[in-house]
Amino acid sequence: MERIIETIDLTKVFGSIVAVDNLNLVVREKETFGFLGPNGAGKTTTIKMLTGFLKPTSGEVKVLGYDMFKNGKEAKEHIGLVPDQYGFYNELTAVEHLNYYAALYGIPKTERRERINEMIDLVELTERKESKVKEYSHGMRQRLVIAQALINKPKLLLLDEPTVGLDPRGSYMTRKLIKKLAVQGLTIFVSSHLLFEVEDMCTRVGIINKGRLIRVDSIKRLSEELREKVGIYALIECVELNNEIVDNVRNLKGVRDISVDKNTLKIDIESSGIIPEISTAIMQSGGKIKKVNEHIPNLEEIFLKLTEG
Amino acid sequence: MIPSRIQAIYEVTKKEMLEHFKTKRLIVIGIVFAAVFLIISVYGGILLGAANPEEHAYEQGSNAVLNMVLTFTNYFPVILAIALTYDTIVGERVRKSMYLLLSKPIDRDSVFIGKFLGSFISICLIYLIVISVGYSAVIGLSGIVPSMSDVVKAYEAIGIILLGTACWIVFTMLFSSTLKTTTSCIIVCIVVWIFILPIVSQIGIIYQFTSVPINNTTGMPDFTKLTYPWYAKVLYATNPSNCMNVHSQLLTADLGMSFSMLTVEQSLIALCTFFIVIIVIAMIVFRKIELD
Repeated sequence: MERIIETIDLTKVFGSIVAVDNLNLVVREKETFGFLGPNGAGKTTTIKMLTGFLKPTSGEVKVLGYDMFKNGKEAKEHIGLVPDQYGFYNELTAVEHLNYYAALYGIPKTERRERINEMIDLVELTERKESKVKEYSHGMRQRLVIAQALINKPKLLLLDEPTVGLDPRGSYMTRKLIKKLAVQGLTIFVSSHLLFEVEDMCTRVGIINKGRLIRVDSIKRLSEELREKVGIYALIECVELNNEIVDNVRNLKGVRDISVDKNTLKIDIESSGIIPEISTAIMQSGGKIKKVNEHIPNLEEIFLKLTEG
Repeated sequence: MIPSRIQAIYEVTKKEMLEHFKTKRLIVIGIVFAAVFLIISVYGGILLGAANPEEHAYEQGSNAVLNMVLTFTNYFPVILAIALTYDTIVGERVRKSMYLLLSKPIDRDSVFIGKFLGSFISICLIYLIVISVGYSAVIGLSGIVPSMSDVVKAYEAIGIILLGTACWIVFTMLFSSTLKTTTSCIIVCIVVWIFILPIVSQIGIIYQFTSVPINNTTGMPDFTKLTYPWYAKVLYATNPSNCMNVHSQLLTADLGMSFSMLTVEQSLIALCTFFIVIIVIAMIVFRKIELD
C-alpha cells in the first residue's frame, strides 16, 4: 500500500528544547492512525511539520510522495487539516469561509456552490450558514473547521485533538463522522489525548513521548505485548475469604501475585487459562465465588506503561 | 487543482476587501475622513466662489482648494493604512487563522501580496470616491471649471498620496510580520509614524539650520541663502509622509505657494525606492519567520 505520510529523522528544536526528536513514521493509505502522547510530547509540532507550517530543524517530511518543503503545494492540494487551535474571520459567514478556502484549492466556481452546500449539510450547519462566525458556538466552529478540511475532498485528513471542548453529542458525532470517512477510504491521522477515542477509531497507533516515537503498532498487538509483560488480572469476588483460600490460590502455578481487598482477590496471572484452576482451588478450600472478571490491559494502561518515567 | 499564483493573490485580495468592508474600522475612519474632507471642500468652494478674481487662489481655481483640503486631511490615508494593516498578519497569527490558511496550497508571497492589495484597494476606493465628490463640490460651489491639465494635476497629486499610502501599508505589514502581538504592533506603528520618522527626517534640516549664513548687513540668519545638502534630503525622504506633501508643488506650483525640500521627481523616486525596499524586506521576513 502507498505511503501517505513518511517522516525521515524528523527533528524540531526550539531553542534548547527538542520538541520532536528523529521521528521516523510511516502512515499507509486508507488507515486510521492514532497519534498518542502526553501534553508537550510533540504531537502538534509534528502535525505542523506535516502540513508545512513549521520547518523542521532537520529531516524530511513526505506527504503523498511529495517532499513537503519542495513540493508543498502539490501535497497540500490533497490534505485536509483540523488543527487543535484555529481561528476564523469573525465578520465572515460559514459560506464565505468555505468559498474562500475552496477558491484557494482551485475548485472552479461552478463546482463550488454545490460542494459548499454538501459540506454545510454534512456538518449540519445549514440553518446558520449565513451567520457571521463570531456568532457561532464552539461546537459550530468545530463543525465548520471539519467542513473546510473536507472541502477539497482530501486524500489525507489530519486531525489534532478533534473533539476537545465538544459536548458528548458533538464528540460522538465527530467520531462517527471520522469513522464514516475512514470507511470511505480516506487516510486519517488523528492525534488525541482521549485514549478511548483513539481505541474507538484507529487501526494503528503511534505513541510519542518527549519528542520521541516510542512505539508504533496496532492496538491489539500492543495489548497482547503488554499482557505478556505485565500479565492479566483476575478479579474474583467471594462470599467469604480466609487465609486458606488465599494461600491455596497463591501456590498455584501461573499465579504471579495476589492481593486482597475485602472479599475480592486481585490475582496477577500469566494467562487467562489458569482462571478455572483458581476457581476450583477456591471452591475446594470452602470458598464460594460471587463474580469472576478478567482484566485485560486497555490502551490507557498501555499508554501509561510506555510513557512512564 | 492548484490555483495559479495570480488566482491565489486575487482570492486573498478579494477576501481581505470583503473583511475590511465588513469591519467597522474602515467604515468609521472612512466616514470621519469623508465628513472632514467634504466640510472643508464645501467651505473652500464657497470661499473660492466669493473671492476676488484677481486673487491667487481664484486664479489657481479648484486645485488651490484641493491643495488646502489635502494638506488638512493628509493624516487620513496614513491612519487608514495603519488601522487596516497593523493586524493583517499578526492578527491572523494570534487568532490562529494563519495556520489554517497556510495549510492550503498557497505560498506565503501570494498571501502577503494579496493582503497588501486588499488593504490598498480598499483605501483607494474610499479615498478616490471621497476626493472625487469633494472636488466636484468645490467646482460646483465655486463655479470655476478647471482646465483638463488642472484635473490631471489633481489626480497626479492624489496618485502621489496613494503611493505614499502604499509605502505606509507595506511598512505596517513589515511590523505586523515581525511582532508577536497586535497591541505591540499598533504601538510601534504609531510611535514610528508620529515620532521616529519625523524626528529622523528632520535631523538634516536642523543641522542645516544651524549653519545658515549670517547676513552681514542685518546680522541675522539669511534663510534665502539656505541650501540643503544631499544627506538632509535623503533623511527627509525617509519619511513617506514628507514625500506625500509634495502634492502642494503639483497643485499650486504656478503660484509658488508650496514648500518642499524635494522636487516632485525626487519625491516620486524616494517613494518608489521606499516601497520596493520595504516590500522586499517585509516579504523576506514573512517568508522566513516561524508563525507558530
